[in-house]
Amino acid sequence: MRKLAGAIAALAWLIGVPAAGAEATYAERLGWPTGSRVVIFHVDDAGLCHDANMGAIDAIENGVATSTSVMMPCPCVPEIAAYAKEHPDLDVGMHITLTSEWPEYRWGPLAGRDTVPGLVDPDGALWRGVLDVASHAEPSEVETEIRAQLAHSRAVGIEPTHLDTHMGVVLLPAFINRYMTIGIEEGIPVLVPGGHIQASNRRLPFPSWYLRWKTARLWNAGLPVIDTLVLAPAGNGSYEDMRERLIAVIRGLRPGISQFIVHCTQTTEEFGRIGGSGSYRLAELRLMKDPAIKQAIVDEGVILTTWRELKARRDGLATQR
Amino acid sequence: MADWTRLVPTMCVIALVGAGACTSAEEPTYAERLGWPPGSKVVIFHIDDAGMCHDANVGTIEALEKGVSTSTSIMMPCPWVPEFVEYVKAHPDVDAGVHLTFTSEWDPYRWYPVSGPSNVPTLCDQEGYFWDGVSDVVANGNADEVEREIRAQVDRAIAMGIKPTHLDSHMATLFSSPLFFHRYMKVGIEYGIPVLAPGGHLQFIGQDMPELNDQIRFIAKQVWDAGLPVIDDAVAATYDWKSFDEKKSKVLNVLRTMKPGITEIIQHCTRPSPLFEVISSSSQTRLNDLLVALDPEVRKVIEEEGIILTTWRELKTRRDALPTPSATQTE
Repeated sequence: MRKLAGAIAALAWLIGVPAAGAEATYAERLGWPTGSRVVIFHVDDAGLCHDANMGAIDAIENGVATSTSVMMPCPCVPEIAAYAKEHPDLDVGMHITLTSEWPEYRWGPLAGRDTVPGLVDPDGALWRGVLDVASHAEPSEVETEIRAQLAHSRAVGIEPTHLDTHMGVVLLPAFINRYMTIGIEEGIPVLVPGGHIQASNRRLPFPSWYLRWKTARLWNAGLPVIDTLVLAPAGNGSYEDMRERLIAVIRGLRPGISQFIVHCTQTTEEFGRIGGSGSYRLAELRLMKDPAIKQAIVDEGVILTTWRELKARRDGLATQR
Repeated sequence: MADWTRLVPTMCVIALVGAGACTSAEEPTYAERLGWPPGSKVVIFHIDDAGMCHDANVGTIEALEKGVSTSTSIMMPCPWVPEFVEYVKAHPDVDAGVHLTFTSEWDPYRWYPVSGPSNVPTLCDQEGYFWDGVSDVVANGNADEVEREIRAQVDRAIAMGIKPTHLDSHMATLFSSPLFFHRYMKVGIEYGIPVLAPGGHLQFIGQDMPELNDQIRFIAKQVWDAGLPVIDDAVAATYDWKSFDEKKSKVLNVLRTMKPGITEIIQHCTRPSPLFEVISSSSQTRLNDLLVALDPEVRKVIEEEGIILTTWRELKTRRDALPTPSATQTE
């Protein structure tokens, strides 16, 4: 009976109409027991600045964070690259960066201003906003820049464990196929949530059917897929409020693989100058190291994982669809 | 930060290519040619490295507003450029040029070509950043790629809404190869933007290899004949004067002993935060440049010696006011 259900679900995937609720989570498909709740605590924005590097390292070494990804066009990449070389087990991906949103601290495309003119604003930096990119850039320019960032990642010695996206730009309908194709061609897992897509404090700006339709292709091409993405898992407010909310989110998790997005920054004076989100980022770093959070993870039996493990598990399934 | 000893052989090679005519030391200074009275001592206090980091921007602005500094140039590939450009736009009289950048020499904090590493591969190390040393650029850099990147940096400045008052060269990289120097001159002439190329008495910059000074003057004269202003001398050794006392006494000595003419004194004024140490070990010399620029005694000696402070913008205006280049040639 389960076999039949599986076959129907697989058929549904192939024709792009997933039978929601009927199929196994990606955690199950990747070999975790039924009902397992598997989490990647992912620190975005490594490489952005010295403080972001220190925060990512602190959250992973001393906290529950398991993975991070690097903004290749930013100036402090060599620092995190040196750390990654000394820690070859580090789960470190590439945080595809197509925007430059801080007021006075900015970066341009690695492909060069003349090569991807649609990606740069009048300052010669990447656009400040997602919609600016959407309205000016050609998909081919986005692909050129992603490839330039990947070449840079490899040049600094980081073979990314996964690809993901700063500000979600590459999830836009115009760009998502380019993004996924690069991951498939290169055999690098790509962040697009495609399971139950449980609602979190901040909703994803894309409909679930769209994401499931896209991730079916990733899975079929042999890459792992996660079930949901939890943005701003602790919300905003006082530290105590944030902690309470994060514990509630952990307790309320549905089975499957969930990636929690956090921004951990050891905010010195420098970060205060770069942008205004320092206290929020510092609070998320504290949360990653908070004993109460660690305890909630233990109490709930949450399994922590990495993109490296997801890839190994998917590879272990060989060509299974 | 500059290795100016390279300027000499480079300009020498260009001079040889250009037939080696010399000008005599008796000629009027470029200050006189640009309309200042005979005997005038005219100085540009120039701050390199604006835009490199926030601390450099803070120090540059402080030195321009409160110190003796009169001019600066911006490193266009660096991340804090928008902050400084916003300042320049809000203060349109600020003398701001492009500090053409072909090296990325601080280990944890680096930058890559504005043109994109894959478009100018000979300008990049194996990690895709600019080379960390001038000799690497000279050994590997292709002159066409150098010219492309010069244009990309100048074009970015113009696209951001500033009119560069002059061009110069971070670490003097463009003075380190005759092929690069030629492209630098060429772009400056084409855009009508003054380029730093000292060519008068060379009292300070010409001390290393004095036998080549006439040939250096010949190169600068080509720049002059193309319609751009030229200065008589530059003082680049300031970066190596580390302590405040050494730096101040040597700067005072320069001011008291300088010959008439236009002299650019190079500074790297920075207000280093604790984080600057993460980037570079040079915070001491940079902070002391700022403190010297702010020092009342330095200002007092400038007055005592009757030194006139100027900018690249003023040099350009004065050069533009002269008759056409062909008519000014006296030889």
